[in-house]
Amino acid sequence: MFWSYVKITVRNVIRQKLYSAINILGLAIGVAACITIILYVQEELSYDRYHEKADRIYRVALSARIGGNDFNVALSAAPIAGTLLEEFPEVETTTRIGYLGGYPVIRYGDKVFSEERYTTADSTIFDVFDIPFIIGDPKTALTQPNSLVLTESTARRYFGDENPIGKLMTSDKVNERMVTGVIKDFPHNSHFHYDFLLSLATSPDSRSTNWLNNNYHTYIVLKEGASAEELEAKFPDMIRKYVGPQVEQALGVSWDQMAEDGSSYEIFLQPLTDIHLHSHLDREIEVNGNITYIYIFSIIAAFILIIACINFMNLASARSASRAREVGIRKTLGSNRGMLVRQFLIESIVLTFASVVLAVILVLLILPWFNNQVGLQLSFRYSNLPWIVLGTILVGILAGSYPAFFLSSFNPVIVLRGTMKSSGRGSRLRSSLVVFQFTISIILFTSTIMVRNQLDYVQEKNLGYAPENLLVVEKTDDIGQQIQAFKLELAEQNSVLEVTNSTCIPGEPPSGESVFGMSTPTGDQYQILAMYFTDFNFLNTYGMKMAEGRFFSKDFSMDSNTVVINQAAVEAYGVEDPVGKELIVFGGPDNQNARIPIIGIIQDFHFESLHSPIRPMVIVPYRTRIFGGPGPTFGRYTTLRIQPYDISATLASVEAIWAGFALDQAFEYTFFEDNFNALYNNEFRTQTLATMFSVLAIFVACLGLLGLASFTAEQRTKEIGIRKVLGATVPGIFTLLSRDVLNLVLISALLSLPISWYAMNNWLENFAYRIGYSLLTFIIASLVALVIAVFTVTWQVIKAATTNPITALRYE
Amino acid sequence: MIKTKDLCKVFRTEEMETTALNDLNIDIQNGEFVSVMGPSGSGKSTLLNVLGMLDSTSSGEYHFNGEEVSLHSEHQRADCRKRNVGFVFQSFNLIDELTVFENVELPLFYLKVPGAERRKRVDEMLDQMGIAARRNHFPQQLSGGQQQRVAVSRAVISNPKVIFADEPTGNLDSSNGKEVMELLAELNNQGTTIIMVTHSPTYAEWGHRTVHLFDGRIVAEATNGKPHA
Ligand SMILES: Nc1ncnc2c1ncn2[C@@H]1O[C@H](COP(=O)(O)OP(=O)(O)OP(=O)(O)O)[C@@H](O)[C@H]1O
Ligand SMILES: [Mg+2]
Repeated sequence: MFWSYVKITVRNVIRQKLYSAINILGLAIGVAACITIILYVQEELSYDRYHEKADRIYRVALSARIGGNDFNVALSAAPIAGTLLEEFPEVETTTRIGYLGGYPVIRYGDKVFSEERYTTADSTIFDVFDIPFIIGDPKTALTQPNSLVLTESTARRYFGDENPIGKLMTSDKVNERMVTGVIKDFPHNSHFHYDFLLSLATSPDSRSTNWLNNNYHTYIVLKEGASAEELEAKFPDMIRKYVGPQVEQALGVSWDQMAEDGSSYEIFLQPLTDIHLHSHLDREIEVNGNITYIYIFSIIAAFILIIACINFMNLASARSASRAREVGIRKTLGSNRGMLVRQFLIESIVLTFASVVLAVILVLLILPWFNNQVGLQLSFRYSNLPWIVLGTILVGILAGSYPAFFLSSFNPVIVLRGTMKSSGRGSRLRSSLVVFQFTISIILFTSTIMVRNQLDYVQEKNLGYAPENLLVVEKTDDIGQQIQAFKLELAEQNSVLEVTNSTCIPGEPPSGESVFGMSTPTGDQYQILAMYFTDFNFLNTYGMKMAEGRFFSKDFSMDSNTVVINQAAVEAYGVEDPVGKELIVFGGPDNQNARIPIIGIIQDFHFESLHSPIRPMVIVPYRTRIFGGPGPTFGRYTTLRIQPYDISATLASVEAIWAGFALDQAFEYTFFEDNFNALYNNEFRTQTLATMFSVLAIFVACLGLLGLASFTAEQRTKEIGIRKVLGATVPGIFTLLSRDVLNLVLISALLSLPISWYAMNNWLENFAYRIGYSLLTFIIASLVALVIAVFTVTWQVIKAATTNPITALRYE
Repeated sequence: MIKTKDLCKVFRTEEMETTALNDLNIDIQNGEFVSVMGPSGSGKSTLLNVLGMLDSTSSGEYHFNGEEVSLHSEHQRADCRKRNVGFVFQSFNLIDELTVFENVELPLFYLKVPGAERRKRVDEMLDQMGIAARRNHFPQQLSGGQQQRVAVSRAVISNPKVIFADEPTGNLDSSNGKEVMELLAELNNQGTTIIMVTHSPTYAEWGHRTVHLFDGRIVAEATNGKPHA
């Protein structure tokens, strides 16, 4: 019985080519999109779950409000790990990973690299995380100072086939580190990827008892059955005991007084497995994913699958009229309803199965391209196969159930007498399903365009400086004081208009953040300011503007003891005439607070992504005495404003000059704009994905519409024939048939307006600087959907409208 | 009114060529009632379709009301048809989605007759045909006889010069069949030319003359001595 049904199905597929192609292909594309998204979602959800103790590992993080400033950082202080282990019995192990500002230059033999994925770590890191060793002993590898553990690929980069154990590598030409272990590279679904782990014992700061310097990513493992919430509940006492006294000493204000003034200080635990998708603190180790996008893509996947299933149901029910005779005859010959239901369900499952096989093949073929497009490393998970098979049967039953139960309900007498009306009920259901599909498509389409507009806006928004034609030579701090000469030589080039050296550039985290005071009529005000250390040419090179006063200049010999603050800072302090006032800097020599005059107010510029508002900042010229000692005198970034033409020649000459100073140092550069746009990587990826999938959704919806149109036209051949006999013209018939589609799309547009409005406003909330919901975009998206829909039905309608009426009526 | 000379209609399909009408000559006067008979496949429907300008000729001449139709484009044919011709089919060919009223109204609609006048004419027609009570019913709610009455109403609503009826009584029992024949005869009395295909010799005798077709040719013609009562 089963095989005879399969045989009938296969025969039907072959006979109804267009119908079958639309059905199988449409569903295959839908399922392929769905599988791809599921792979992506699985990948994102799998982050850090591979550690054996994953569900017991927590990261210690800090959320504080001091003097009206909020800190939300993924860091904690050096002594906290030890304290947690000693004072709380539910803590099994702890480990710390250092947060390093700079990037060391590592040498071995003639190999030299500037290393960005270099950190310090407690020897217990191997007790907390599953980090498999290739050579070396995890128990001892990081216990001694100056011990270095490398990843496999890093070891190969420096040592080739040589055994690295026991070899010495130099760091910044000063320190010698001994390689004690080689570990496997971190898998891509880890929230950190280091190439080097230096024993934390190397750093004296690791033994610091200062609770106010938060420089470590601290991870703890709880004992089995211990509750993180109960542990967190004990933190306030710990904070009062250790942080309180140190704050009092530093600020001269009592802990209770501070709390009364609205300050707060909270240490909390983040489950390891939540970090990648849920944590958006400052000083994350890497840019994390975003759970919102996971939801969005899951919804899109569901939508595409639903659209494809709807096609399936719609086409099957549209065809019901032509299958009614078959049902009638089968019933007269003795088939009962159950057998018919079974037949149609098997038919549907067989078709679904064909689609899914096609879908899996599509996914396998497309995945490499897809990964490349969106910068992911997804691979097909064969462990999904049983689920896919189960899903196939489910989708098959779901998509086949309506036609199965609908068709099998036909009364054979009515069907065979030929007086069965082409079911009004069925066509109303079909219309609502089409409306549903187009509503989704228009929403996806509108959103895609708006995401694109927002990202364009972000890139084109006046950043407060001119981001074009800026070449950034990185790691120039490697040549130390020679930077002066390097800059001079660069400035002589015709292709180089301006040169500046700074510790930081917009788009990178500021070089530090510190509390500064200012005397105001209502007493001393304290604010946290982001810090930039720059030379005198920073303003000119970036093309920033002063709002008041002036920037540093070599014409004023006193300038290396002055600062410039931004407008946001002026506002934060709430002072009237900031120029000429002084910033109060804590921790001068003998605990005397230093005072530095403000010589100018720089116009606000975006030094962080447009996700966040512009914060108060201070620009400190090199050599300024700050925090009781001389400040930096050179920085990591040398920025050149270059001529917009002959870029490659410019690059070559800059590299040649660099080589003259840096000898064996690599020449590493970026174009400023590329670097800054990397801040929106998450959004760009979302945009690419959203575009792809909304185009797919619309395509699949149109495929369904095409099938539906051809059946409508077929169903209405008789009507069309009669109308033509009675004098209807081709355009008249065209209007008649396309009016329906037009109405459906218009209803869809109306429905999608409020939904897309709500969804987009929600998404735009993520940006501190954003465009509004654009009605024009919505209208364009709707029009495009309309045009595509009308275009899709057109050729079917034209075919129907131009056939000779006699042919149509002969079918009677 | 209608005159053909060596009229041919050939159907070509991939496998074969069928000559449905073969050098056919026929002359029909204004106001005549002509019955067409012949075995199945002899070309009766084809003849009606060609004469009714639903289909093109393959060769030969066809003059309708002085116009040479075989030279007309499809568009011109459709225009000429719309103004001059009405059809009645064996299977009624009413539009299921439209009511009785709307079905009858359609030809006027396509002739761009203004709405008010359309309503007036259709109402009059339905009255005259005795189906006014059914004006808002759908075709499936009517008996075969009633459906054919609607079809006839629809065919004559535009006051055509000629009515082509292809087995109009084919799907009807004898009493309903007779009613339809009476309708046609009445129309003919009022001056409408009627060309009707039928398998029934009795109904054929209602015509002024009967034309017998075989293999696409006229093989016999008889004037009916005693036209309709
Ligand atoms: N569209 C067509 N394509 C091919 N052959 C056709 C077509 N229409 C009619 N024929 C052929 O032309 C011949 C005449 O057909 P026609 O329909 O005129 O016969 P008929 O006399 O009306 O028969 P019946 O009494 O069964 O209705 C037949 O052999 C038929 O097969
Ligand atoms: Mg016939």
